[in-house]
Amino acid sequence: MSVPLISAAPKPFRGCLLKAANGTSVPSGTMTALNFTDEVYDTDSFHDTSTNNARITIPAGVKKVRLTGSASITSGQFLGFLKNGSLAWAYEGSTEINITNTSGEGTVSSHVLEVTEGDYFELGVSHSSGTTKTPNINKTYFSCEVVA
Amino acid sequence: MAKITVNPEYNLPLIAENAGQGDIEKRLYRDGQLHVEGVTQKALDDALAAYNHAQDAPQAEPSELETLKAALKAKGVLADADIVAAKTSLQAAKAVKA
Repeated sequence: MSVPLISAAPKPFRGCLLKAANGTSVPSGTMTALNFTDEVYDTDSFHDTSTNNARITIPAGVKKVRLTGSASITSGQFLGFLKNGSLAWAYEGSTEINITNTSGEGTVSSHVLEVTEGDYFELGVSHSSGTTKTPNINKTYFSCEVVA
Repeated sequence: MAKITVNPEYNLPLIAENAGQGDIEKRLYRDGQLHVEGVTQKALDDALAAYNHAQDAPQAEPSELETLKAALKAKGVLADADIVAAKTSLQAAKAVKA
C-alpha cells in the first residue's frame, strides 16, 4: 500500500530589514537607540520610516521572532537590543556584544524570542570613545524574521 | 522617568551623574533626548542648566597606537627620536611609491 505524500507549501517569509539613518549621532558614554530611515523590505508594516523609526513593532499574529543587528561605529562599542522602551539591554534571550576590532564592525543576533502584538524592539549601541560618533550607514542594519 | 533635549556632543554621563544617576543602564539617548531613570525632572533640568560644555566636555580616549607609544616611551623602549625616524622612513617610502 502506498503512503500518500503530503507536503505543505512553505509559508511566505515575513519580516523586515532596515538601514540606518544618515547622520545619526551616537554620544559617548550613553546607550543610544539607532534610527532607521530606509527599508530594504518590510512585509507587514513592522517599521515606519518617519514615526518612531528606531522601532521594529510586532504586528498581530506573530508569536516568535529572531532579531539581528549590525553596526559599524567605533572600536569598543557595545551592541544589543532594547525592548518596549527599556533603558537597559533586553537580556531575555539575547545579550549585548562588545565589539573590539579596530573598524568597530560587528553583528548581534537574538535567540528566538516570544513576543506579543505591540511589543517593540530597538537596536542600542554604546561606546566610550569620548567623542560623538556617526554610524557607517552602509554597514548598520536591523532586521526581524518571523519564526512563528 | 525624566528627559531633556540635549546636544549629543555634551557630556551626557556627567549630566546624568549630576542629576543623581550614575548607572549607565539607567540612561538612554533616543531621538535627540536624554532619558534618565531614577531622578526627578527638576534634578535633570538643573544638571543641564549647570553644565558648562567648555570645561565639562567629554575627553577623547587616545587611540590604541597612541596608548602603545606612551607605554613604550614610559618603559624607555621607544624615544621621540625613534618615532620621528619611523615617520621620516614612511614618508620616504611613500615618495618612492608615488
